[in-house]
Amino acid sequence: MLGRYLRLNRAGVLGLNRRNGDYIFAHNQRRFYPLVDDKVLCKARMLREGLAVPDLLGVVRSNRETRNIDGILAGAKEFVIKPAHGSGGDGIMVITDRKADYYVDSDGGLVDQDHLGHHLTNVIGGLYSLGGRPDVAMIESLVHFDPAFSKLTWQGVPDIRVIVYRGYPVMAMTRLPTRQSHGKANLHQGAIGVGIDLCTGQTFGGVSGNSAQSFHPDTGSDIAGFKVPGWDQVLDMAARCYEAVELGYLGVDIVLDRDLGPMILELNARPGLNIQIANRGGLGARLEAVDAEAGDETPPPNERVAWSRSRFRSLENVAH
Amino acid sequence: MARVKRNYQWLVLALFLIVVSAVITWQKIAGLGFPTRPDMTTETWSIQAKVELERRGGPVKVALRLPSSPPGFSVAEEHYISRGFGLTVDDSPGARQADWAIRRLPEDRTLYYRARISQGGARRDIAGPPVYPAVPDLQEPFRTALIDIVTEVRQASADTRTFAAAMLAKLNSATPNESMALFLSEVHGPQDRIELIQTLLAGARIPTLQIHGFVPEGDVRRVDLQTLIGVYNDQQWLVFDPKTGRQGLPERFLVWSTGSPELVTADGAHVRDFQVSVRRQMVSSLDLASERASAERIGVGQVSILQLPIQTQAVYEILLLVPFGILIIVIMRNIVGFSSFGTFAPVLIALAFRETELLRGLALFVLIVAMGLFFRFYLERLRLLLVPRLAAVVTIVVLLMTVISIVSNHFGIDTGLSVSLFPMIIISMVIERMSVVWEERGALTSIREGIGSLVMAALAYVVMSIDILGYWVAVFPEVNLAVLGLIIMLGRYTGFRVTELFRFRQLDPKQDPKQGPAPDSGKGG
Repeated sequence: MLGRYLRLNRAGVLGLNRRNGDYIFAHNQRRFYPLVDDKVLCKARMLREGLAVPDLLGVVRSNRETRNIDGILAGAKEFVIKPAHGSGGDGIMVITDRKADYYVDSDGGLVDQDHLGHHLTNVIGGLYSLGGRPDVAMIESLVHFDPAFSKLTWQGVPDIRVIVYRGYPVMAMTRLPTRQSHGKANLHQGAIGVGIDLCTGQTFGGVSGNSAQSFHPDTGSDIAGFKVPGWDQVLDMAARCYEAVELGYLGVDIVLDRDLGPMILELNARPGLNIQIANRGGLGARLEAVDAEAGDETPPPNERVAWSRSRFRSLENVAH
Repeated sequence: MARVKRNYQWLVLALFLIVVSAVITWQKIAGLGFPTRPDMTTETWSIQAKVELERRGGPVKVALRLPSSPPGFSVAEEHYISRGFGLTVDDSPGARQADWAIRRLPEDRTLYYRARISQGGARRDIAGPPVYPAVPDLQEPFRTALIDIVTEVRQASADTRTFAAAMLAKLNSATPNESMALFLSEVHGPQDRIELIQTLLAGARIPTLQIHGFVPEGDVRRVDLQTLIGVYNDQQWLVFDPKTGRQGLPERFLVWSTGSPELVTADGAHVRDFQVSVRRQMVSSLDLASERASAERIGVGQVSILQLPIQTQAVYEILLLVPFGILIIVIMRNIVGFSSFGTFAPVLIALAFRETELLRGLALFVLIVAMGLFFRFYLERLRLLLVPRLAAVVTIVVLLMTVISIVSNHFGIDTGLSVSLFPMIIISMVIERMSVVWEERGALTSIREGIGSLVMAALAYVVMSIDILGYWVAVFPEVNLAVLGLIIMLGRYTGFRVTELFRFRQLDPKQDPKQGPAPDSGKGG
């Protein structure tokens, strides 16, 4: 046990306590949290900074408005309902179609008006928000994922998570929805995390839950060696989020839309640590490398991306 | 390397809190004699001075010398029994005395002074600094003899202490020399002997003081008061036994008074008898220490909940244990890496277990939560709004508790379910959270977190029901400062959690990453 503790430490693996104590507290000022914790605010800020996001269809703020859902949707057949203060993907409902009076969810199940309204009131009541505070439900347009991912996902939308530390991308993975995750891209709901080589944008081995995974359980496709399209753009957007929200330790979730290209789905001020397992490498070592590089002046995003790409290559870990 | 700026203020604060806590506790244990276990007793002595007066007529004044903060002892519960007399206690240092007065004594009376003494007072000096005596003006041949003795003893000594010791040795010698024999021929009793020592030492201008007292031992009806001699060496009073010449205050010697050998003096009446008696008593150390603390008005002694009304004490005894339960939660979450429903809900559940005992409490908890979950899933189908739904769950929990109590009572089982303390709100929240997690993350995660909460609650219960801990927080509430210090330290623990050693096992370089254990999918991060 102690041996593993020391070996993990030497390998630069980051634990929750250290993530919170040394990185989140030190680099994420609480006053900037609302920008990422409130998805409605976050979307507005991203738009202001010229970063692409899925369209906002509307916001449901009160139980009365849930009855007027048709008015808000304005005929949209595909949409996603998200609690504005939700975390970990809880409370997200993906609707892919409408049939008569029913909605079709991402699993193909039918959802009636009543059920949809109940879900909205739950969101507004604060069931999914931190501390149970009243919340609002955000309705945004559905992303159509890039067909390049089609063999690597079970319904849902795969996304790319990039950890950005002090403006430098330090680690990335793509999260592939599975049947078990009901088409959602959250690892703890059963999605697979696949590490990405920061330099080339190529995937290597994956992780499901806490264990290694080399093929997609539902499609059977090999998940290693896949090249993420538009990788340059993905890294550039991720790096620019630092200027947008001023959080030093940030998880940026990006989706690749078939027609609209990379879009920022959401930001996370407390991104999880499973990305290390997906990348088979420790995050701590890379954060220390950034600390050694970054001075008082923050270079522009393109220079930061270039530095990260040259420094954090492939499987091999950061050499000191 | 430009790392995060290190700030060790937390460490300083944590250590400070722990030290403060330790110092206060130590003060109370060593200084005031607070016992470290509830059943400890201390030997105390009930002392009584009895003055029998014989009536003579006319106004009567009686003065009785009293012990005044004797070194190594503390005096408590002083009582004066003196029917009809006016009483004033003169607290002047070194000459504390009770003055009784009455205009006319109708009959023979007996006056009493009673007190309880116990060991453990501060080691103070016997008296303040004295005035230096003049060389006694003696008649010949005593004058020459005194000079002889002083010169001789001075040669055989180096300082006041050795001078006094040598003088006593000379005096007590089996074969005194001529000069000493001259003085000794005038000695007819122990009191003369004491005065002789004082005279001889005054010949070298050394201040002396008579010290009257005794060693309390067992039950003695009539204590023989002993007189020791104090010698001032410009810094402190050294004590010598005039008979043996032994230096130092004998072990457990209670100093009753200093100076004049007359402990009691009476005007207008005859003291027919004066006696001091002693009785040994075993007393709860805790009572004694609290008494002493309030008598001596020492700040730290007041830091205890024992002064509060009994019901309030009972509440605080529980409240003061909560930080220990919380410490367990902090350890389980941040060091071990367990998760639970609600941050401190396990502590509240543990408090409820105190009412029901552990196993019964666990069974009740599981039963109520399981039944509550069942109803909660049904409520989900009714699509109630959040707050009314929570309210419905609370109501159901209350009803469930009532039914369980009635049913178990019917079968003659006492559930010991205290409605006031068994936290129905907490249980309702646990049910609500469990059902949400159940739907969002699956039954397995939900049940696992539920069990995690119960394990933490059980651990917190076990810690909080350690008897000696309950006693300690009541008597030494300041130990919670140390708990606070520990919690602050744990708050800066940035190492791995135990569960992370399993979670990140594939990142352990010693293992082949391709040969990770079988996928245990479904376990969240």
